[in-house]
Amino acid sequence: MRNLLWLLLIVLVGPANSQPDVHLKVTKQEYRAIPIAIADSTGDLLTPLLEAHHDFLSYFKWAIEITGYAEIVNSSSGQPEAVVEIKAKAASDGIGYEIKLDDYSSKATIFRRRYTSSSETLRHTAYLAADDVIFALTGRHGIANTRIAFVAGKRSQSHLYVATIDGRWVKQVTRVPGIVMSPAWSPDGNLLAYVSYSQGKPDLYVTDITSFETTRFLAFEGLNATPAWSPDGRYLAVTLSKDGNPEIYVIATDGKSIRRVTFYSGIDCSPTWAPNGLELAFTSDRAGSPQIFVTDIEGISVRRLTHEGSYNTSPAWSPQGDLIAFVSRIDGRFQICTTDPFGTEVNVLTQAGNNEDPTWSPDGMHIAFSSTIGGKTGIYIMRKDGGGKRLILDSYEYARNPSWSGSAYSITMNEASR
Amino acid sequence: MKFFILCLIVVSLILFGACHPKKMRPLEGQEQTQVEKKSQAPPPEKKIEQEVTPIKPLEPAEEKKIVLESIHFDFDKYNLTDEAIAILTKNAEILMNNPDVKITIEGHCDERGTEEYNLALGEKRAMAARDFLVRFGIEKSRISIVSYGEERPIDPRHNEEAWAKNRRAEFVLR
Repeated sequence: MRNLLWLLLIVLVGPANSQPDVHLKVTKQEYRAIPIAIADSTGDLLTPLLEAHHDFLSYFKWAIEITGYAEIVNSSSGQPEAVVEIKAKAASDGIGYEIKLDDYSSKATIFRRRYTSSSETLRHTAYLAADDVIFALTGRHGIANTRIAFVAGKRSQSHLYVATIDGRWVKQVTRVPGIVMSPAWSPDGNLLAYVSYSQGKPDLYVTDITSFETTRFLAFEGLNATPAWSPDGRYLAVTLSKDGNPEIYVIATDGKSIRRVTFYSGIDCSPTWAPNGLELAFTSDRAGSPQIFVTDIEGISVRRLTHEGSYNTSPAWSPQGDLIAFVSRIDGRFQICTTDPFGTEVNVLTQAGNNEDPTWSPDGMHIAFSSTIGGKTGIYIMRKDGGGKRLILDSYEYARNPSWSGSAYSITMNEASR
Repeated sequence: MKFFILCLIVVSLILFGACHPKKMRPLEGQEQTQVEKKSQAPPPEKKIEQEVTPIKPLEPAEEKKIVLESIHFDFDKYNLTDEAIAILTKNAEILMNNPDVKITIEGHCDERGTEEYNLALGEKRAMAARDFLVRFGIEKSRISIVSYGEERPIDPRHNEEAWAKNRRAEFVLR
């Protein structure tokens, strides 16, 4: 009997001791928005060019501030660190711009470039100029020219959309309102995989965003859910319950191969690829509560990534591979966190409301997520250190499930449809 | 060590056996009795019965009025509670007595937690209910399952009472 007690003691104490020392911390924001001033001269511009120029300015400011890297301040009272000088001039087919970025105190010029914009390319030019200024100022890329897929509408009356993150170009992907979720972009930005109940159960569909042609790709019995494209675009990792349990499978997009990756009698779901295509992070309740695990794509070597708390789900591996974003329940609410691929340190990036569905920007410097911060569900973006939170696509009711396209996107070709 | 494992096995067998219905129990409650009468009565007797008590003629349409009660789950769980097992046992008996009835079990979650995980959780809840019915003796082919995750709450409010109602498996006749 004494032996039995010792055994029990070892069993009870053992796992606790073997857990790595993980520290949950509220992130100290590593980056602060650089205050910049804008000096604007309109020269000889008259209406309607003057009005077009005002549009240009508002596009430009939005594209600067949406990055969270810079904030636009008043040149006299805002203590700017840099000044953007914008000189507009009537050109033969629109407006010519000369844009110059100076250090405020030394007056040294950091960046200078000329742009020409017709009324059709006004917004594109403004975003291009803003991205150039941001890059000159921070060495990081802007995000104004990127696309997001998202779901909006009340639950079973929802639609899937693709949009530029400014919400000015939007296409509705689904034709009939219904339950739709989990959009995922192919790496080339041409295909969108998602879950739809249009046949009464969760099946996996793929829509070509260039032609809007839709294929029902997977319709196994039970769940066909949580798609994630491999970095080379040749495979989809998905959750299927066809073998009697929600498990993760890797399926060739040409339909020629299917491989089961997880083998556990509980829940395995929500796979996300490491950028090298060799590992998957996923959610599993094999430890008694939902936690994030990492497996090689053969399903042989599995390690546990999250240890804090009793609810960690929805992993999203950053394009650089350095971080995995996920959702964690902290004090009864759901927050966006990041950790490194070995789970040594957890950063909590959101504090208010309930937050879900993290997805990375193409350059891995921003995270989009759905949140109730503003009282109702909407899509927000933030820097990867948690700073610079902003609501986007706010004209859509109950916008959620964002998926950030990994490929750059030219707005000009769709400018006419705005 | 061996003794300990043996003990564990014995204890778990006893526990498992206790909540696992080994055989049909006599029907209880009015609903089931009614259903039993309708479906089990062989045709000639039915006719006689009709002649004796022609107040409620038995029609196929009426047989559709079978009501299978929903079961509920704890937060983030898909194991069957004692209450759920009692309800499932009743549902199994109804299905046993109505061999032509086919059902879809819908698994649902409350709004808390992530949508994708709740989709898998709803699937596991529906599976738990189905597996119980199959162990009871209902043919697997009569049961299909579908998870709606958190997409179809029956109570749209955002409080404990609503959440408890929404964490459920529903039995829908096909």
